[in-house]
Amino acid sequence: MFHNERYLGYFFIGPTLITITLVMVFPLIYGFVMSFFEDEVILTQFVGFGNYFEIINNPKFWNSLMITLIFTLSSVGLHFVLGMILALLLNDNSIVNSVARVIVLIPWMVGESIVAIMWKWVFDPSFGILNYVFTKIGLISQNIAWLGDPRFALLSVIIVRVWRGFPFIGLLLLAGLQAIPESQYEAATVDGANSWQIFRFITLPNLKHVITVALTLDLIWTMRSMALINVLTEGGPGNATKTIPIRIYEEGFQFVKLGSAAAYSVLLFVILIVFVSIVILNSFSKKQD
Amino acid sequence: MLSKHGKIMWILGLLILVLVSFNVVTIAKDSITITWMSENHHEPQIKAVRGKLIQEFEELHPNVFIMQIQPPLEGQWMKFSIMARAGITPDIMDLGCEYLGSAVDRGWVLNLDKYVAEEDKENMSKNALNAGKVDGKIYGWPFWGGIYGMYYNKRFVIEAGLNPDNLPETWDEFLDWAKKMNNPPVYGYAGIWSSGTLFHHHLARLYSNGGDILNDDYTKCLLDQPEAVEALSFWTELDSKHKVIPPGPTTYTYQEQTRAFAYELAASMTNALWAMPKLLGDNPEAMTDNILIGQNPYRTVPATYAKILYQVIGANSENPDIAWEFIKYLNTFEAATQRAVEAKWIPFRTDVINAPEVQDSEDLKQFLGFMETAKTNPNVPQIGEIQSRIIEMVQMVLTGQATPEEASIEATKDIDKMLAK
Repeated sequence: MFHNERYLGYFFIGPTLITITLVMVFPLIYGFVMSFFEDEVILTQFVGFGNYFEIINNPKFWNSLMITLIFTLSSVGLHFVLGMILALLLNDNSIVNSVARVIVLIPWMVGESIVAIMWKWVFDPSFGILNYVFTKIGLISQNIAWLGDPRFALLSVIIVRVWRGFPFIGLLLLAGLQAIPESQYEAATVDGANSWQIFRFITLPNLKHVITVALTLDLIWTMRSMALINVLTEGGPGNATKTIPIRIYEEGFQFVKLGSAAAYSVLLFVILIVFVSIVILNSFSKKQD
Repeated sequence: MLSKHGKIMWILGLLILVLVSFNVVTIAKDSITITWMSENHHEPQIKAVRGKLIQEFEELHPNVFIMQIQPPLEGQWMKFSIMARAGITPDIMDLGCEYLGSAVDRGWVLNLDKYVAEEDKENMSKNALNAGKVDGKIYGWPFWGGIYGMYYNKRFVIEAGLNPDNLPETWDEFLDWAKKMNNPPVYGYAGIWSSGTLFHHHLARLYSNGGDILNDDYTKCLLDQPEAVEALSFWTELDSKHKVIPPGPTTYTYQEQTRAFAYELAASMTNALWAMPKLLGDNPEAMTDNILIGQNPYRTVPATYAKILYQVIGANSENPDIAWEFIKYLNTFEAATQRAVEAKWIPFRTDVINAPEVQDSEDLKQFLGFMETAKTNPNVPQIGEIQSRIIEMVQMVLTGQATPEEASIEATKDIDKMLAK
């Protein structure tokens, strides 16, 4: 068998393929199948598309979808903008920047639940430092319930998500910036280009692939984010921050309705595929141009 | 190649290994492990007393080993449901009353009727026993829980010119006290308006106005009835109208509420006896000898809510008989008294109140006295969803997103749909 090196290759990647199939592919397919059943324990009570119809006919699903989209698009957008600013600031290879690159990554290194607990204290209406500082500088006259007021809860959750996520996006963009040949910048300067023109015609095009990867990953991570919101607000107050992942958790583990939870998951997967496809196809179409 | 000496050492080593393994297997075959899952094992006041009781039981049954399984706090149901789906339920679990119906419906727990003798039922609270039944069969043995009453800060009561010997009994009396003790940053009342405990508090208020969640045969939701709407309205107006509760109420879980009371930022709170060790631990200087215990205020009928933790035997238990023996042991008069006195959790034996140690403890006596008017939630499979819907209902009103009437009607419609399935 090992005389032919081709078979030897299969032998070595075989365990990995089997593991991926068991850990990823099988649960994916099983979850999809489960979404057509009501009783998930032994897959009795086939309901066809019943779970999907029930979800789509529930106004709360659409509310959750809207909240999910606002949360995702705002967070990803701000990740990109702040990440780019950070990357441009850290692009210079000085000793200070070398240290700063590690320090700014700290929010990303801390676990999501821990970040959420920490920010719960920051946002606390009675003890939180945010209200204390804002009151002292005269920005507000009375304490705000950042996580307890539906007008501010989603914004607060987005702030936490952005705080934690933008350093990593910045690091990805920084890696891309470091790979841009210096000669291109020199040529642009010689031609009389200003900073904005250099950024628009040199930096951004060179970062296209990095941006595609960063946006794709960030969309996936943000859209399926559950732990942060669950610790901060549990989807409340009312349904103000109840994203689809929170509904999936509720359906599956609190209401013990795995069939319904699986249907929610499939719908989220489809929505995610649509967004990721837009990003990737957009990247390819620009390449062809 | 090994020398002769080396070979002898190898053979001896292998022999010892075989002998030890054989003995371990033999011992393992003879010994029985009973797994006991509870999210409260780690709490300091509970850990000590459980450790003692386990040790006592193991001494009486030398071949039995009790293994405690500690899931995350408020994550026990999720862990149990995953284990049950995998067919590896623990032998014993402390299961909250809000999950019993779901667990029975899915066949995850055993029917206890064949284990329970008539004498086991003597001295047990009839309400609690009945609440552990589904379709007339016993599935949950009432282990312990919390009966909700009121805590008052004695110093604030006196400073407000109120009589500490004449605590409020009715809603209106309570509101009068809350207003008089309200002096921001100290607020008149701290409730729990988030997480599953909001459900418990809301039921305490609902019952004390003669209301209920469901009708007798569990086919219709009653949250749109006048007494239910009134309960929702009165207690949410503590914030919207009377401003006697701290800001951001929907962020208040058990931790925030007890912290507010312990650090004297709230003059009263609804809670069970289990909160006492936490208050004394959080701020001993302020809390020692400074807490008054009163009944849950009522409008039409003295009533309160009892969160009952049932002990259930998992459907996959290989030793249900021994599991039941252990459950019985934990619920003997002596063990129940020990649990009540040391851990401040209420056992559902009605004779514990007569124990001398309990008679010496004013707060324990008072909370045990509330048992007569305590009621728990209905045991329906949809109770998890109903709980979530009620939390949403209350929060919608509290945050001004709906009036009590609107929120009650919407919640009733949704719960009726759940019951119809």
